[in-house]
Amino acid sequence: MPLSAALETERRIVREISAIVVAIGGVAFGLVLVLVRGILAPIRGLLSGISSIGVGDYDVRVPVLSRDELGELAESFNAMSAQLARTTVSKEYVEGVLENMRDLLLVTDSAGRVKTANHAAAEALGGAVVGRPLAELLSSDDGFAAPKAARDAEVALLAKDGGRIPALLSSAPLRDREGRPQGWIVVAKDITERKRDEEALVRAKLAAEASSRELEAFSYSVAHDLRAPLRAVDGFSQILLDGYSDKLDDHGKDYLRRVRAGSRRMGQLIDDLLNLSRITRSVLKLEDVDLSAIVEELAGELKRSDPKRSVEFAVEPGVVVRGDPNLLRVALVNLMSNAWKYTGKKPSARIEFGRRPGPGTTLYVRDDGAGFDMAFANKLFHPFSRLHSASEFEGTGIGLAIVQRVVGRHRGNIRGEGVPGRGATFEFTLWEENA
Amino acid sequence: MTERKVILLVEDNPDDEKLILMALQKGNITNEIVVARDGQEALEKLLGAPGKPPITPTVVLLDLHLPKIDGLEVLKKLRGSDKTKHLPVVMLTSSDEEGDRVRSYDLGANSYVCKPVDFGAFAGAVNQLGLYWLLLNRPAP
Repeated sequence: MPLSAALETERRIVREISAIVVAIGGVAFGLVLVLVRGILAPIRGLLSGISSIGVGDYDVRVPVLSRDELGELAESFNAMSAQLARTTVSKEYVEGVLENMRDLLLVTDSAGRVKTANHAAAEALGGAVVGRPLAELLSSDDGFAAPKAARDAEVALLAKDGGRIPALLSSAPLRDREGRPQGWIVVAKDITERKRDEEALVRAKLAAEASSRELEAFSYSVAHDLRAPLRAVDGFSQILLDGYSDKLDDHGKDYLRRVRAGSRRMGQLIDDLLNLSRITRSVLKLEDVDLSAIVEELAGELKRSDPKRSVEFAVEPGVVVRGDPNLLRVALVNLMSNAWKYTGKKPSARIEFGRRPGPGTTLYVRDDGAGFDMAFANKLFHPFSRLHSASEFEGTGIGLAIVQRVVGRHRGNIRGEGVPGRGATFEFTLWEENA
Repeated sequence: MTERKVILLVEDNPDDEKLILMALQKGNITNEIVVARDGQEALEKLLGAPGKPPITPTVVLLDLHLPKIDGLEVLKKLRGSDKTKHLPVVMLTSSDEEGDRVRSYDLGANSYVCKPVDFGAFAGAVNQLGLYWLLLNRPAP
């Protein structure tokens, strides 16, 4: 083979090899391009997604670029971050809550030095709180020299401006995964307003007590100071009638009698008023009281007071209730003497006392006397208001007002039912749940 | 029969004083009645004062509300003195308050009578008081 031919062959081989190398290089370059596009880009996406989650952004999603293993990986990543977002509270969220809550929040290290304070704490305690020991920030009878677990301990927070803020403080230890103490979480609730309300309430109570004492002093002076001049009016009228009747004509004597009747009636009204206020003021002494026995006793007294009258008493035996014996007696005296009084114009009458069946304590006094018009029932229990004229039936109109106060002091209610000419029933409850 | 027995009436209200005197008169109680018109005067009469020897009444009718020294204070002072610790003292007052009654008995009152407004009742009460303390009651020696 001539040399030229051999050289030509060699050149051709070199060319072919070169072409193959170039082709291989081109294919390799293409492959690299494909690799970079198809593998590295999704991986880069995943990486940036992971770093987003690392800083607490669970809303990150990576694009799904292919339907291969990498695509699946991206989809799994997206599912995971969605799951994380659902189940994990983000740092911003927690910070948002802590910063915006009205209660003060402090986190301390295990020695009690403040590490974190929320906005409310910084505001109330005045700025630079971080780094200061908890004990410097509050004063308490319990002493918080060292942090300790507490629940609603009453403390005073020491504000920067020197003010003291009353607060309820709760604290609990913070521990790491192994249970080692890391510090304390302290929450304090500003109760300035509540304290103010409480103090207002105390002041109102004191004022009410003062005015009640004033009322008592007033009642007292009514008793003493008004009775004395009345006694003079009544006494000297009587002395005039006794010793000077020869110097007075019948008109004069009649006028003097009216003066006396008026003064005595006023004396009665003063006594009634005092009795009424005594009912309200007296201290309740509770015991088991046999109301049937009291009513029987009163019935006996009433019968003896006017033996000519024909009145039948029907008293249910064994009615025993819890209450103040003196006050309950006062109530029954008034109800029974009313029944007696308002049956006074009947040739024969019947007065009943008993207990209604059923839950709770409901008692009644019923008569078949004069009764009353239900149109005026709302006036029955007003002091000094009457449904009958004094000429018809005597009285000052204090009796039922007294009964109502007695019943009220036993957390009960009273109501009256009447039919003119047919009788009246007074029904009262004791110890009602919602009274 | 009760001629030498004296009643000391401690009463600042002239109307009440007059009514009490008339009631006693009406009940034929003719004993001497010495009147003191405030607590200080009552104490001077009972315990003595410079130039005034003390009197020893059979009974003292003592009002609660008195000028200068009130009735309860007078009573306390009387019970504190050997001379008057057994002296019968009847509180005669307009007040029917439980507190006044309790304080009076705590301080050693012998009786507590509320003055009724009704003159008939008042005269009756004063009479019975006079008769009881002047005739029936036997004082400490």
